Amino acid sequence: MPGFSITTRLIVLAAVMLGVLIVTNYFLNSRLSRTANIMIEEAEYVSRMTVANSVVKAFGDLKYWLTDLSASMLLNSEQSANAAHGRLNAALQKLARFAPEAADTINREVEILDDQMHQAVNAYTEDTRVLGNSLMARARTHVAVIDRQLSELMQQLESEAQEKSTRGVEQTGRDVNMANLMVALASILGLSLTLFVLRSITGPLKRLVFSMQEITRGNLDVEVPAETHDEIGAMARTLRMFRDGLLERERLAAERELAQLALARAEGQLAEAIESISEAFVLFDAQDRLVICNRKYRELYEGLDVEVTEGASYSDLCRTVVESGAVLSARGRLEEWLAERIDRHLNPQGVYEYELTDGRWMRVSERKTHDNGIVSVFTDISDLKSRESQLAEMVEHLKIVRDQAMQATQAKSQFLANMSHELRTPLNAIIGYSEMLEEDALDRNDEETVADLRKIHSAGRHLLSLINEILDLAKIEVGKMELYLEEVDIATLVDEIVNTISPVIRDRGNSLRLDMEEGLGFIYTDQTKLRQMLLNLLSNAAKFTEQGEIRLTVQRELHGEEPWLVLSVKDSGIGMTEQQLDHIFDEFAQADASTTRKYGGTGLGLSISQRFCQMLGGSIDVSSEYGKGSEFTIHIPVTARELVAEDEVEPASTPASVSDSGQSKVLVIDDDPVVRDLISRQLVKEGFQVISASAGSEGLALAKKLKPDVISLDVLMPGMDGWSVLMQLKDDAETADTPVIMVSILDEKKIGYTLGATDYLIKPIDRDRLLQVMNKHCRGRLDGPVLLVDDDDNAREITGKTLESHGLEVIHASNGTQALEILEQVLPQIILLDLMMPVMDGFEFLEAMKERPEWRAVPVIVITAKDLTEADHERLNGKVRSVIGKGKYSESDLLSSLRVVVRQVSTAGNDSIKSIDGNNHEGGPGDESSAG
Amino acid sequence: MTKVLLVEDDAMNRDMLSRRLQRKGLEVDIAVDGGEAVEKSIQGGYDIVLMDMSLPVMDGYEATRQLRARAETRELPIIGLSAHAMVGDREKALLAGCNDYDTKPVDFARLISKISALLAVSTRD
Repeated sequence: MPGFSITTRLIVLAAVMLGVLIVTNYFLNSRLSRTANIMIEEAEYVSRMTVANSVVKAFGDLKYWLTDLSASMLLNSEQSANAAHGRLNAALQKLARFAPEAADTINREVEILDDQMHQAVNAYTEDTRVLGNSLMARARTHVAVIDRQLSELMQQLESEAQEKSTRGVEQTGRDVNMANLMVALASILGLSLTLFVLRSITGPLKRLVFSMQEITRGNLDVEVPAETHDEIGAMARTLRMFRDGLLERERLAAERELAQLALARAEGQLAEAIESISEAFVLFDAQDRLVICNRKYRELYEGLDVEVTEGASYSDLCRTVVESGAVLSARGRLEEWLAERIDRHLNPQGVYEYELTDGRWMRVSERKTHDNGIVSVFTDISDLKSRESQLAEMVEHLKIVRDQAMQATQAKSQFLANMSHELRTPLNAIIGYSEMLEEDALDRNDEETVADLRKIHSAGRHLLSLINEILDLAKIEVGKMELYLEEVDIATLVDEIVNTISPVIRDRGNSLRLDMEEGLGFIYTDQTKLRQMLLNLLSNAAKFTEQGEIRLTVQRELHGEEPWLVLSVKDSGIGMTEQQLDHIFDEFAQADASTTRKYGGTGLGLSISQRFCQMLGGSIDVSSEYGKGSEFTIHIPVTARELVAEDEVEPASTPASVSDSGQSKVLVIDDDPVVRDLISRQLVKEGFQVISASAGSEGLALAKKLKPDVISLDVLMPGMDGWSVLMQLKDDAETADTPVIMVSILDEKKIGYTLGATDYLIKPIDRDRLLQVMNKHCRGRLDGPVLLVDDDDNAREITGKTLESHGLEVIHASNGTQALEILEQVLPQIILLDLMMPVMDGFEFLEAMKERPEWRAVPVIVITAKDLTEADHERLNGKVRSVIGKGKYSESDLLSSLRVVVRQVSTAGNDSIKSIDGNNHEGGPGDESSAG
Repeated sequence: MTKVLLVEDDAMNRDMLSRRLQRKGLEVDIAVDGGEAVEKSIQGGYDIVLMDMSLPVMDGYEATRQLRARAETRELPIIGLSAHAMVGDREKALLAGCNDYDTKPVDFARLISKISALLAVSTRD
């Protein structure tokens, strides 16, 4: 019921009532019409009885008149008898309509009677009385028949009429009862429907009214009746909204109250916080009236005749302090200082420092608030000041140390020059005289003396070469080794070197094999240095090999577009252990001490050769296997750039403009052109963009202008030294976040890190270490696409997402077969490979990749959950760049591995495949020594 | 006979070098410092000068410059010799006017070939 609106309910109620009325009416009507029919039937019976009565009357008349006739024989009687007969006939005809048999019987008997009566009359007329009497008697029997008939008929009619009447009365009685019942039923129905409808309206209405009363009384928790679809539902909804509105208002009020509480608490906390600030804190409003300050601030004015309270002006406060003579900085220029101080207070410009008479230093930091108030913080910076002066002293001290070091370097250089002179002069005599005496002895055929003299001569020569090497190294170290670049016919040079070295090689029963590519032509390089390097490598090979083969290979190769020359010296000598290999290029470090005893040499040769090679823009690689031999390979560009000379012409080899090519930018600040050149060559090769500065001030300017990713900074420089540069870089917000790598011969890591250096490299610079540090702080050039091969969809998804979030395109493959199909279409920049996969596993995939050179060139990093066995390592070696444990790496680890590999690949091509443990050794042991 | 002026302050080296040059069939005259070297050269009669660059009183550089400044010795072949092997020594010597330069201790064969080369050029002229 509540589903319908009240109007609908009332309409339905009215309709039902109307229906009941109609049905009742119809019923009563039908009953009435039945009663009417019964009445009609009763009337019929009355009319029938009337007819019957008319028959009885007519027959009576007939009987009378016939009897009369029989007695009187008058014509009149006869006529009356005939008339009565006629009436009887008419009545009989009427009777025949509902009682045909009786009418018929009566008619017949009447006819017979009439006939007999007439006969009797005739008899009487004729005076045959007897006959007449008999006829009369016979006639009377008929009369009796007719009378009986009539009486029966009458009786029957009466009883029928009686019956009809009784039935009619009964029927009517029943109808009356029925009608009464109907009315009663209709009334009850109407009443209950009305009540029902009324209840359906008043019930909810009452509940609603109750809710309204409760809400009005303030009881908002009262239940609002359910919202039905009728008018009351609408009212309930309105009421609910009203109630909810009240509730919301109440909640807001509560919240406001809470907020006010919180605000009060925050204000309390703020006041407490301000109070507990270790610095003096004060806030002035736009009219320079004190709003709030803390105890520390009040302490500033302790003992002075001034009230530090709300509303006090800073000008007054400051004047009181200054006039009390507490400010040393204001001594002698009180008004001037005061005016300046107050002006700076009203127009804050960062910090202001001043000294107090009691020796303390104060720093005022002031700032405008958004509503033009002024916040001031007074800090006691006495400690800072003393530290600053200590630091200044330290810097001063360091400058002295630096100057001393530079002087020492200068002195060393001078000393070397002198020593060289002083050593060579007597050597000159020793070698010269021994040569002379040798010639004399030869002339005399004095074999014994010749042998001894040769020993003296050879010892002298050896001493000379030692001096030369030490000198070379010294020159390199102080940056005074110069290049004499010229066109060199490489084949001629190599032949000449082979001729020179052949006797030495043959001395120990070794053979020399030369593999020189045809048509090598000319290269532009420093011939002397190249010769020295090659002789050094060859004599080393000869020294450490007996009865073996030494092989010199000379060929060209392309590094990108640039042609390079590769000279490799391979021997079948004693080789080196990995440990020995690690220090092979260090100065004064031969394979071990016994090597020196057995083979001689300074341990400088390789070191010098490597430095020379670097100066020529190249490098020396070594691979070696203990007991099997070593191979040293010189890589130099076919055209060496004369950087040292250029540097001398242009103090800073800085590109005027640096395009933003997306490469990592490194700023090298070093006064030594050789170092600048070395670092920049190594970094440029690795895809970095290098900018260099020859002085601290220039470096600072470039750092601000070009925003490099990393700065490499020397410490000992004329003018502004590295420490000062570092401090200024860290002080300037624009450069403070740029990682700075100190590169110095000084081992002062502590100072470096204290001043904010990110890393510290000690000269001479280790190439790998330099690159490692640079890679750590620079963006990689990884640009995808990355092929991800893993059957674990989840792992692949996660790794893929990681890579994609760094802007890399990722191609997915769930096994080796799929990955090979992809390789047919796309050549990825790098492949991340799972080993354990269905269909085709990682090992098989790596095998398959070997088939095509362009596939082989794609670097592979293995990501595996498998614990690799020795055999696995064997299978992977040379095919993959790196192995990462599944789930054991972070996002940044993964990316840096990728970058490192990509950088390696882009620079080194295929020939320096990283061993899977991540070390950079390329083979087994090797050897080291210098040219004897 | 080719006449060589050997300018050398170290007695031992002077003795050794002069004797070795003489053995090669050269006539050797001696000067012990730059001043003497200039003096003797001006007097003439030398085909070539072997000049040590570090000398007392007047060093080899100065001596060479002076020789080059005078008309009579402008064309005189001079080979600078020095035990200094520092950067720039060679350039300094050549800049001063030496025709060639060699370091000490001398590689005697190389020195002889340098002398022959210079003499061949100067005699052709």
